[in-house]
Amino acid sequence: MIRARRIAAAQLSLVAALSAYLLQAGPARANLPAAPDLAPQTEEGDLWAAECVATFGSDRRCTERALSAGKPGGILQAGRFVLLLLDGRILAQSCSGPPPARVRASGVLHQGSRAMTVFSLSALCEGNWQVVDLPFSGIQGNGTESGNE
Amino acid sequence: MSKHGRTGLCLLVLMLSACAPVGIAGRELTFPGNRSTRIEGQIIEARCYLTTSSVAADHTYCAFRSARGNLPLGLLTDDGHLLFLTEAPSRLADLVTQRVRVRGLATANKQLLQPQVIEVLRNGSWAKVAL
Repeated sequence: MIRARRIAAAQLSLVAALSAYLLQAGPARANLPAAPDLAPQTEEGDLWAAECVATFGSDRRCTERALSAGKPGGILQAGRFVLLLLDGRILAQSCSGPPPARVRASGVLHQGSRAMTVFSLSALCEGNWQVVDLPFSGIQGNGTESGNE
Repeated sequence: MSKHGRTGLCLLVLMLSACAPVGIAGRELTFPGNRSTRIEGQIIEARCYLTTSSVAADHTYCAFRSARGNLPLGLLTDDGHLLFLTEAPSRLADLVTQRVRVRGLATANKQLLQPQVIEVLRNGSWAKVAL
């Protein structure tokens, strides 16, 4: 009698565990994107010019100068630097406040989060998140071709 | 000031002086050991390379236009490692898909390379590029 009760209890707990797994796993599986590697991700941190990271440019204006010259920039956060695959001049216009600006980028990460193809960009300006206009982020940059030749 | 007050003040000064270098070094700790290096490879336009693995041939014109539009460039080494160049891409547009030798400052994790001297391989010999 006692043995039969124990078996019934074990079966019941097994069914409960399986039900819990199915209830949890079902929706999770259904929400998986068709191409997980292309799922947009978001990075948030301080905007830095790549040059200032490479040279430890502690000058507050280092990032501003470099980005204005079209040099690449990215997000520095928790010991990681994510290079944003954009024209640096777009990043230079991300916020009118003093650097480093706080930015949030959404896009596809590459090479273990070393670089990001950016879909959308926001900057924290005077306490408000403002969307940065990406004039044309197609294959050929912003299309202006007005470099520093 | 009491003895306890002085001790507390001394401790506070000691803590602040100990924290200050950590604050400055905290930035350096992010990428410790940045050093001068010389790396050889091919200049690629980063976004196309990372999304399509395109390097040269049909991609050359697109890479050139993209570099002129200031999309970041990278140096692809023979063993397939990619370092992002910190120089303004439009200044290096003529070098896309070319084989180059770059002397400069690289981050310890080999993510970024700040070029100081670039030489391009043309007709079998290395020619220095003005930066």
